[in-house]
Amino acid sequence: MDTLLEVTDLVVQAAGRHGPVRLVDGVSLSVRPGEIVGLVGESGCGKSMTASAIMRLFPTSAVSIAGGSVTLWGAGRLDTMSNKDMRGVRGARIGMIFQDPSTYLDPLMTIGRQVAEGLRSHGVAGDHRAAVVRLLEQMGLPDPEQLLRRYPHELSGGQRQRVLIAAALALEPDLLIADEPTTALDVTVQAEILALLRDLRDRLGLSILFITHDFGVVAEMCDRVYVMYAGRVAETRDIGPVFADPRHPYTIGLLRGTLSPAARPEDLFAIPGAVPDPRAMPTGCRFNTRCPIAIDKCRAEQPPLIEVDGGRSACWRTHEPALATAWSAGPEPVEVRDGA
Amino acid sequence: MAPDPAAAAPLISAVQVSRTFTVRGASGRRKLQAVDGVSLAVGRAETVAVVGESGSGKSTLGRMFLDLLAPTAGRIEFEGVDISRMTRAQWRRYRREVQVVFQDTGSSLNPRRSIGSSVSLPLLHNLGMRPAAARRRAGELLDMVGLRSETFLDRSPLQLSGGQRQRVAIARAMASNPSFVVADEAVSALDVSVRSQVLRVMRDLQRDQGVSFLFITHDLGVVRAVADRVVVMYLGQVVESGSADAVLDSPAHPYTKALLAAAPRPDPTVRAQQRSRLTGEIPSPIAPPPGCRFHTRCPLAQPICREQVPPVVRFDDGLASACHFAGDVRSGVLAMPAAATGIGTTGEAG
Repeated sequence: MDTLLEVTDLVVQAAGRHGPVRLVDGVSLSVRPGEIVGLVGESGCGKSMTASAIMRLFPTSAVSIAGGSVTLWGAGRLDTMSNKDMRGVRGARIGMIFQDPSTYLDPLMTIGRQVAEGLRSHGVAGDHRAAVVRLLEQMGLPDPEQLLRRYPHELSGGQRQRVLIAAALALEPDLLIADEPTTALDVTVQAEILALLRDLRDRLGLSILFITHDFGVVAEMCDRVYVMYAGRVAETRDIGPVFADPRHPYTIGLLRGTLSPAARPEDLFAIPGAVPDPRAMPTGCRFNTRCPIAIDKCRAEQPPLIEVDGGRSACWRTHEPALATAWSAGPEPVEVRDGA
Repeated sequence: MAPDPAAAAPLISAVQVSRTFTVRGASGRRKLQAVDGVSLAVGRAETVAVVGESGSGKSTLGRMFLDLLAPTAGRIEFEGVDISRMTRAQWRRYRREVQVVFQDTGSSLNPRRSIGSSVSLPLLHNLGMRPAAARRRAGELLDMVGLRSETFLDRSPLQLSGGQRQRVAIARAMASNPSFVVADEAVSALDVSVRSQVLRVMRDLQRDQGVSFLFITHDLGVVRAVADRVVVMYLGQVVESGSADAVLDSPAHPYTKALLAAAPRPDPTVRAQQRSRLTGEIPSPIAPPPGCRFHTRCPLAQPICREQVPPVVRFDDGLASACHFAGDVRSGVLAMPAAATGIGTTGEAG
C-alpha cells in the first residue's frame, strides 16, 4: 500500500440563490500510512469542507460533492459508496476529532458509554468496558476506571479532547482527521495533545490529516503540508522545505504573519485584504488580488502545480527571483486596510 | 512587584487585590480564591500583558480593573483614587476612560444594528454627541482600525469576518476616547493571519493616542509584539513580572519557561518534543498546593518548594520572580529537563 487516502480533483459545491457555488474547486491530496499531513489556510479557504467531503458529513444538505474522487485503500471510492457502507467506514476506518470537544460530547452520558458508543453501534463483540479502560489509559488519562462513570462537565478541556480522541480511535481506524483539535485549548494543554497525537502515530502507525490555520502547529506536527487558498491547493511541500524555502507568495505571507515568543513589534505582518467570496472568485490565479508580485499572466490564467524542491507550487513566478522579495517592500510593507 | 517605570504615577493600579468566590459542591460550600493578593500598575501609554493558563485568575483580575467584579480585599485605583470610593462624577469619568474588548465579539455586537450604529452608541450616550456628528466620528473610528467607513458603516455584523468584527469591537471601545483598555483574549479566537492585523491596530492606537492596555492572554507567542511589561500568573498569584525582554528572553521562573516552551514556533527543527513540556493541568484553586503553588507541576521542585512559600527575588533589570531557585534558574545552573518521551498523564482539574 502506497497511499492510504487519495483525493483527486475534488469539487464541493453549495446550492446558492444564483446557481451552484464551488467551495472546493479541484483539490488533490494524498495521505500515506503513518504520515501526518497538514491542511493549512485562513478561515474560508475550504480546508474543513475538504475534510467534510472525505467523511461525507456536510453541515447542510445544500452542500455536496460535485466532482472528483475520494479513495481509501481497502474500501474503494468513498464518494460513490452507499450511505450504509459509508457508515461502516466512519469510525472503523476513519476517525474524526474537532475544535471544541464539549460540542461533540453528550453532557448527559457518562464518559464510559460515549467511548463505547462506536463499539456498540458497529456491533463489536466482547467486553466493551475493558476495551474502553484500555483506550482511556492509552490517552494518558488518570484513573480510567473512575473516569468511566464521570460526565463531560467534570473534566477539563484537555481531558475532554483526550476522551474524544479515545472515542475516535475505539475501532482502530487507519486515518484520523483532526480539525483544529487544539485551537480552543491553552498552549500548555495544546502541547500535550499534540505530543499525544504524535505518539499515537509512532506507536499505532496511525495516519493523521491535520487541519489548522497555525503554521506554528504545523511545524510541531506535520511531515508534509498542503496550503489551501480559496478552495484550491496553493502549495504542497515536505515540512523542511516549506519553512526553509516557501515557493508561493501566499505561504510566504502566512509564515511571516505567524507569531511566536521570538516575534517583535516590527514583525507584526498581515497579508492585506481578505479571502475572496466564493460567489465572485477572481479569474486566473485566485490569489492575484492580494499578491504583491502578480503580473498580467496571473490575472488571466490559472497556474498549474509546478514542480519545486520537495513538492509543488501553483504560482507562475515560483522559480523567479521576484518571489523572494514578495513581501519585503519596506518595514511596514502593507496596509491592513480592508474594503470591498 | 518590580520597581516598574509606571510606579511614579500609574494610570490605574491594583493594590493587593484578592477575590474569593463561594462554590457549592458535593462537599458543601467552599471558598475559591481566584485572585490572591495581586499588585499591578499600568502607566500611561503602556501595555502590560497578563499571562497564564485557564484558572490562573487573569480574567478575574481584568474584571476587577473594569469594576465588573468587586475585590474581596485590596482596591483598584484609577488616577490614584479608589474606584469603590469615587464620587459620582469621578466614577462616570472612570467609566468613560476605561473600556474593554472581549474574546467573543460575535456575541457583543447586536446583529440587528449596523456597524455604524453600534460604534455610535457610546458617542451618543457617553459623550452626548448629536447623531450626525456621532456618525461622522464612527466613520473616523472605523477608518482608524483599517475598515473603510464608506463600506462598513452600514453593514451588519453578520457580514463581517472574525477579524473585522474584532476591529469593530476595538473601534467601539475607542469611541469614548478611553485612556485604558482591557483586552481579554482579544485575539485568541482569530486566525493567525488576522491576529497580526488586530495587534497592529492596538499597537498603533497606543503610539498615536497614548492608550494603555491590559492585555490578557494564555499565549506568550502574541505577547512580544505588543507588551512593554509582562506579568505571569499562576493559581491567582503573580509568579513573575518584568519588562517584556526580561520575561521572554531570560525568565527566572520555571513556569514562565514552561509557557515559553509550549508556545508553538514556526520552525520544524525545534519541535516541542525537544523542549521541556509541562505535564498535568493547573490544580484546583479551591485547594491550592501548599508551599510554592507550582511545585506539583514543576520539573525542578525540591522538598523546600512543598513546604515554604517562595520569596520574591528581584534582579537588577527589574525582573521579579517568586521561586526559591530563581537565581539558579535564570543563570542556567538549574536547567529545565527535556520532555520525557511517552504520554504524560493529565492531573486532576477539579
